[in-house]
Amino acid sequence: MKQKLQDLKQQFAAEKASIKTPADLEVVENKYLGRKAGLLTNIMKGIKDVAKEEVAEVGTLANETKNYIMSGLEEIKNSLGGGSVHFDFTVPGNKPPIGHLHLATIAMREIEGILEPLGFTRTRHHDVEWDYYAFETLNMPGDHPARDDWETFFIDEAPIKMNLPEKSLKLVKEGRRVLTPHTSSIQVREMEKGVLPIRMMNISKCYRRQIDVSHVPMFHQFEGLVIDKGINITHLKGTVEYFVKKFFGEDRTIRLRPHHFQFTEPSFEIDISCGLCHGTGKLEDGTSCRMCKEGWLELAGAGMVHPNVLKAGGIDPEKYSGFAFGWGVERCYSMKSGLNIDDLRLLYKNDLRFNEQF
Amino acid sequence: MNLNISYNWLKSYVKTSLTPQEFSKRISLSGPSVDRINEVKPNFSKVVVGQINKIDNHPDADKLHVCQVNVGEKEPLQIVCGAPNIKEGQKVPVVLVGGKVGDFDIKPAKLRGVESFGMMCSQKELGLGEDHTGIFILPDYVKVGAALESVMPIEDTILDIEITSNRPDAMSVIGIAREAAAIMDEKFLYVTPKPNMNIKTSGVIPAKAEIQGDGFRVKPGMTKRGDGATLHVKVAEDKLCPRYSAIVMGEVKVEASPLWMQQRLLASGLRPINNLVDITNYILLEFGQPMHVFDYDKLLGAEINVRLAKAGEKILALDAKEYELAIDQLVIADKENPVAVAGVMGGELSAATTTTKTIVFECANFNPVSVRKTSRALNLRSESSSLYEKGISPENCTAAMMRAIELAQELCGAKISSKLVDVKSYKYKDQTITLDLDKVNFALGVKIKPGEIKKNLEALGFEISSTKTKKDEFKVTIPWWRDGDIEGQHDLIEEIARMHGYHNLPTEIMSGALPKATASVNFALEDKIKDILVGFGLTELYTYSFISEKLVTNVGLKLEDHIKINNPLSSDFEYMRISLLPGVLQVIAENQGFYPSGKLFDLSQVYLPLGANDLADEKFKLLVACFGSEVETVASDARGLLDGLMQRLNIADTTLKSIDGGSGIYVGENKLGEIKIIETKILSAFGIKKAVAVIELDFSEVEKHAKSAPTYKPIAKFPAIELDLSMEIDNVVTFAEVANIASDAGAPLIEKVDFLSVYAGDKIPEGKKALAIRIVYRDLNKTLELAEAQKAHDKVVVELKKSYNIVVR
Repeated sequence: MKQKLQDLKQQFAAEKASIKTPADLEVVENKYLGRKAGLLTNIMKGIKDVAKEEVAEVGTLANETKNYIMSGLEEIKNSLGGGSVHFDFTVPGNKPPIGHLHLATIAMREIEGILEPLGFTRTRHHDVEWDYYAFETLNMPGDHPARDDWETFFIDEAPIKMNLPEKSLKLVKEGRRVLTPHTSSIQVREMEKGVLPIRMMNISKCYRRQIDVSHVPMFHQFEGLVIDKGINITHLKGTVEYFVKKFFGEDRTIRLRPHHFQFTEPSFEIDISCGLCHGTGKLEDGTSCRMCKEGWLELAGAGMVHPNVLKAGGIDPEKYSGFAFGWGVERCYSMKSGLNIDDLRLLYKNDLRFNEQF
Repeated sequence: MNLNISYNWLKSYVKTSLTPQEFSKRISLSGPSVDRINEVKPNFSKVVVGQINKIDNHPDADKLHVCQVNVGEKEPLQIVCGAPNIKEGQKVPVVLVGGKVGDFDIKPAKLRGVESFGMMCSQKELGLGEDHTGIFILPDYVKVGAALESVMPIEDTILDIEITSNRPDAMSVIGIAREAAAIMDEKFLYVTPKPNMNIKTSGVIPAKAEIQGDGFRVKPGMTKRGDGATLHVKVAEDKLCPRYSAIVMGEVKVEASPLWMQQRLLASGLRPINNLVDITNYILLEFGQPMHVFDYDKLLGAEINVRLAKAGEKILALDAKEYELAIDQLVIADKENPVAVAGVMGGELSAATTTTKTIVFECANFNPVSVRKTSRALNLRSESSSLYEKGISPENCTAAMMRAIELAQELCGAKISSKLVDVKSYKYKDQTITLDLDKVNFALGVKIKPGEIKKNLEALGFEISSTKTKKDEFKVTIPWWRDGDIEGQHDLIEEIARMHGYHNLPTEIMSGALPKATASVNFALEDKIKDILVGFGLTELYTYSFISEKLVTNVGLKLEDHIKINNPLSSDFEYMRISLLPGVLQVIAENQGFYPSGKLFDLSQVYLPLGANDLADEKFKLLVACFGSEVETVASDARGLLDGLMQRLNIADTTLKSIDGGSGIYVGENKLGEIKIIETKILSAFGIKKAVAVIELDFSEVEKHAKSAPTYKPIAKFPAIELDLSMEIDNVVTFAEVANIASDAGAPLIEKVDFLSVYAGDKIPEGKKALAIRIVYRDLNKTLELAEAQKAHDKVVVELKKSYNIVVR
């Protein structure tokens, strides 16, 4: 048996030179070490016939032979290099579960991320709000036609006594509960906290009585409000420009255009150059761009806080001034990303085939 | 409000050599914004004026006519036409053979066997307007055979301009021209109209109407018409009607307006009717002043009474609908009946028609709130009401009336037959504001030269003089057309800023101390929860805050527990939700056809009612839903998600206590929410054919227990021993109960009790289940001996036998 083992060693030493491919390797490995009919296995079956006193010696030799063959094979395997395992990576693998944030969340996070470094603190108030904060304190008294612009949902048919602290009821005592039609309802709420200066943002749900391809009755706006000593239009321009460049990219241009809102004076609208027609208003085929108005997209409203609003919030307009801006989150995001969502209602329909695209 | 106006018209009031595009760009930056620029060119060729000589019925078609049309050639053309409005003698546009309208080439054709050489066109076919109800009937003065584009100005640019609601004065051609002239530093070409004010009477000596300054100052009262008839004007509600001016004009010839006027009206989207109505519409566009024209002979008693409607009074309006009036609505009435809803719409029965001989022009001012309320209440809106609602100056009546008279004389051959009645209950007084130039410079952040301020404000019609008290101060007189809009210094600053150009101002970021952050809401935790769940493969939903009655009752909630919207958009959005469940179940119902299973979440508010005079308690809730075909799978998925979420939020020691259909989720005595399987009754109400399990959590409770970082525990130094236990136990006993008994019995050596499997069915007695658990034993201070572990394990078995009478398998 000892002889057989030594012969085997030599046989292997001679044969290993002939191994050139991984396939050869496998054949040789099986020939020597195969569990059922390998040469070494066969020799070892003879152990039962070995004299008792020789068993230990033969065992050691057998191990030595086995290690010799194995290390030889290992050596050859390494020299042959990898690639011995074939796997078709074009077959899809085991995918981890993929979750999806809603588009609105994605958009709001991005907006928040841009304004936060400018010192804007995010805050949130009520969806169900008094018209006192939605209109009255924003320089739109009871009969003001501007109130109509907001297509407001009302909880109460007629004004009721408002359960508010006495100091808040500066203008009227009665009001109606509404679903806040814009984020600006927060302005006087924030002023009433009595902590100055103010630099806050409110990204919240808003509600209006409109539903069609470009309107949903529930949507989101974000609002920025800054009140401090010495705030003027240049600060509003600077903040808005900073935001737009960060959000839309350096290649988009903005323009400020005079507009009118009851609660700001001066007021303007902020337009951004259209990404589709590159601000020309005309498509390549010469037809008018349907996406924009003569090369510009209306983005947001903004302005310097009206003195009457400051007064309603208990702030002296002679000492403090401020600015505010407000924009639609969904609109803003779809302009940025060029998503061109053809029907805004899809956003809140929760068709998973839509939600899972983001 | 948007206004479409012809650029050519605009150019008759402002001098400019700019292209419409350059013009638009310029005024948009400092004034009204031009939304769109539409160039209009003839979309046709070989269209000439034809006159219909003869109309015969088509032998084989009821609706077709065979017309002989003179187009200035030797022989008339035979044209087959189906339009309902043609009459012999009318002049119409005709496309000759070889010509074209739009993409349509005109060739000789046979219509039902009759030959036709050419085509008569509607306004719409010619690309001039929207009217397609019949052939475009041309006024009589046009010459037969003339090319249409030679008798009607067609090439033009139409500007679609947005005018903000505070600027009703700019909602007109003259208003825009005035703005544009100021912005571009160009000449404003407006001249006050000065019609011939001689009163033409039959056989009576002409009188002259009194003119003072730029308008008329005539005493209210009665005025005599030349032939002896009278017009009595009485304003009973002078608060609601600060000014009412009227004049009678006779000998009017009612016909189609000249084509230049029709083109301008069409450009603005108004349909030409006849020269009388068109004049009032023209004035509306040109001056931003609504007017009305009555048929004098239809005014009973020759009376005009501006009064409130009487109870039960009705009026048939020009839109051919009858309206019942309320007693707070202002009307214009004759001796008996309302003939117009003041400022909103005229009445059909007193309207001027083609047979009208004598008219009354009304040029008045009505209270904006009253007009708005009436218009809303009647659900009746018009160009007039939307202008009056914005609050136009009563001073605007003066020139508008003069212009109307001038046009009526020019276009209808009308003769003035009465004095101008002008009832005014106000006295116009100049408003002035003191402007502190330092304030201007502060607000704009740059120094603006006083000369620039003066020049720009004057161009807009303000008058500037210096005050005696201070050097850098102006006394600014507001022009009458800006009375409702300019209230204080801040309004003047806006004027100065926009004229200077916002684009010319520098940009800066605020310096100054950062405000004290007072974050009242834990936005970070909201974000964290969303990220965790998305990481687990869930899809986020945003469902509507308001839901339908059906959705409320589907989940077994009570309508009276909800805040109800008084004016919902539809019954789908009527109740403010108090639970996220109905909305999410609705989403599952709508998606189950496309998705065999899914995992969703919604983190949002619910709206719980508070007191009768309070707002809502807006609580944030998290709802996680798993749906699929197997109830065990979805329930187990939900439980797994709960554990995963709690682990990531570092909330240890949550316990579950059985409730109907699921478990309450607790930390100590605080309930965080529930995990449960949705009952079949609810699922079938939604039409859901899947099994659904949900986790509902109170955000505020989660917030109390969530920790931003986990607690560190040292890694165990000594090995553990795991011993399994398989038992037969009553079905109703939960794993948690078994684990609790085991943990107590084996304390302190038991590190944890894991669930292995559960089985019920064959070989297991009725009411029992086979439960297998794995208990991990560890001694923190030394290597645990198997015998020790076994001793504890035996004790566990004893205690479980005692409590639940288990049989070890």
